[in-house]
Amino acid sequence: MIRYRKLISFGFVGLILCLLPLLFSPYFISILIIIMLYSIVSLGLGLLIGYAGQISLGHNAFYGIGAYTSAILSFRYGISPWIALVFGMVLTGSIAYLIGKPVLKFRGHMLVIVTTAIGLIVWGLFGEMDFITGGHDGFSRVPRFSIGGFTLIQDIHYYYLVLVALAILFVVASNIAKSRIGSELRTIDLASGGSEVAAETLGINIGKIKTQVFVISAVYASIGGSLYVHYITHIDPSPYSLWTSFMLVVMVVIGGARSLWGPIIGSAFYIGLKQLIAAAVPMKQSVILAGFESVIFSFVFIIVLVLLPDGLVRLPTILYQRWVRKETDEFAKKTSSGC
Amino acid sequence: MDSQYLEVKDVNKDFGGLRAINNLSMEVRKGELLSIIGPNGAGKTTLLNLITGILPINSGEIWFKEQRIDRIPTHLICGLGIARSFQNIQLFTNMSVLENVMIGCHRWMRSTLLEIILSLGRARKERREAFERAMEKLVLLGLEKKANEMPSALALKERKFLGIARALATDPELLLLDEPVGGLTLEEINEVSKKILKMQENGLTILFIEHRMELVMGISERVMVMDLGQKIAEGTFDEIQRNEQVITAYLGKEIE
Repeated sequence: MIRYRKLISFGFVGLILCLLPLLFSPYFISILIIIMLYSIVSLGLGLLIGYAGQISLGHNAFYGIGAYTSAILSFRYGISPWIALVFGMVLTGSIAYLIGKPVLKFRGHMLVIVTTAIGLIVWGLFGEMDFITGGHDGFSRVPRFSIGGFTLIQDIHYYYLVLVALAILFVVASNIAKSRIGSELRTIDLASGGSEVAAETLGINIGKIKTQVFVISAVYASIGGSLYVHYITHIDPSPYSLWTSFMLVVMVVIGGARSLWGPIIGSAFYIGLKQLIAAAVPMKQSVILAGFESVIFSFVFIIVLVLLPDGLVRLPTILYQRWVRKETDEFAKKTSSGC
Repeated sequence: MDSQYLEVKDVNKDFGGLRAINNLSMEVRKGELLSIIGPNGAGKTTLLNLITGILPINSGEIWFKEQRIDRIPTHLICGLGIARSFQNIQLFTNMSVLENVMIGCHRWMRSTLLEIILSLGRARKERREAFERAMEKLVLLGLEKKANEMPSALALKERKFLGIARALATDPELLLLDEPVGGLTLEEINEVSKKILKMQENGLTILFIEHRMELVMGISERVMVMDLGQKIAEGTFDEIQRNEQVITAYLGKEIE
């Protein structure tokens, strides 16, 4: 029965998302695409941060490796973007495996520092290896995806492609979260009450489970990167800088890392807020107010995190609880005054 | 009786300049309930950490069922059939009581990442089996009604029981209990003792650690006493009680 109801609500959300682009302008559709692309990347990062409690600031590396592999293979070697995407996943996964094995022995802030270094190194390589990456200018005319001879040129077509990808990846992430791996990940999330020592004495191979989730999250980032580059059709190092990693972590945390909906809500909130501020500040003044923009931005984030430490995803629950409490409080007041 | 069950041979463990375990040799016989007592800082918990591979030993050997285990990682030692509880319980406070115990069943799970991603039959079947096995253990320790509570909602005794239930879920043959009755009332201690004795009757070998001597009196036939990382006495409870060295360790020596 619960399964049934869940299916209906999923179908409902799906239907809305399918019909959404029909109501709005192409500009709005392009924003929805960007939101969904970041959702894919932050969804994988959410498994790593929210479930396993391992913070990585180096996921711009995997996002970039996916994008560059896709772009280089399809543009320079004429390989189909689909195959390039799969190549990107395999390459990113392998690199994440090799990096993750030694790096995940670090905990807490040490892990943050080490992964930051990885993010910096790989980003630097994108710019320096210009014989293949095109250096800091990059290159354009990255081919688009095509399905059976039909090339996805229009945004609205790409919207549905990314929507399907996000839906599949959401189901995969939710299967992982609900499985044995999901529980094992939570045993090593020290911040929320896990215990690595206890997990080990219960037979859980901590090193393996950490590497697994690191690779999974890297592959998510890679898929996001590939889908991004075939959409933008241009590549240069700037979207894969360390700043992107910070942004992704903010998206995950502000949406709610311990829920799979959290990263998606966080992505929508981040991109939405950015667009709102951009729209509110007229073009002419935006040069002067560029710094001011990020002040508003950061201020909103601090407020949200103070009020909702578990992320925006908890907002409905908290509002509901508050409403229920108000009702009981009023009832108590009424009866006590009557006595 | 098989003396080659768990054997600790000439083991040393240093923490910096401090010798926590000093040339210790001991054995646990199959099917017995051995108590280790000793004052605070005697190295009892350290010994358990060495047996379960949480800490590496500096020298010596540890054998379990004719296999050397002192170089084996902790999660594989669990696979050999050794489980433990912790003095500070170490529950997963981010999971329900039931989920805590289900984690103990994970070492039986074989489903691969691909099966999990696709949510295939085996992954689901294993979850179901783990659920049933975990509920069995909760019933055994009288916690079945609290299955959906969070550990923070449990009383201390229940939390200690949960720690044991979780260890039992790995289906061990040797159970190491680190102060399972510390901080409990006398009545509760009796209850725990009864459960422990019942587990031994069901074929479990148990190593029981406690720092208060009177608590092991009723339940253990063999007692070992540790002080300053060394074994200072071994025998029945009566023998131990009369041992000069043990009295000194616990009460200190009279100044003449």
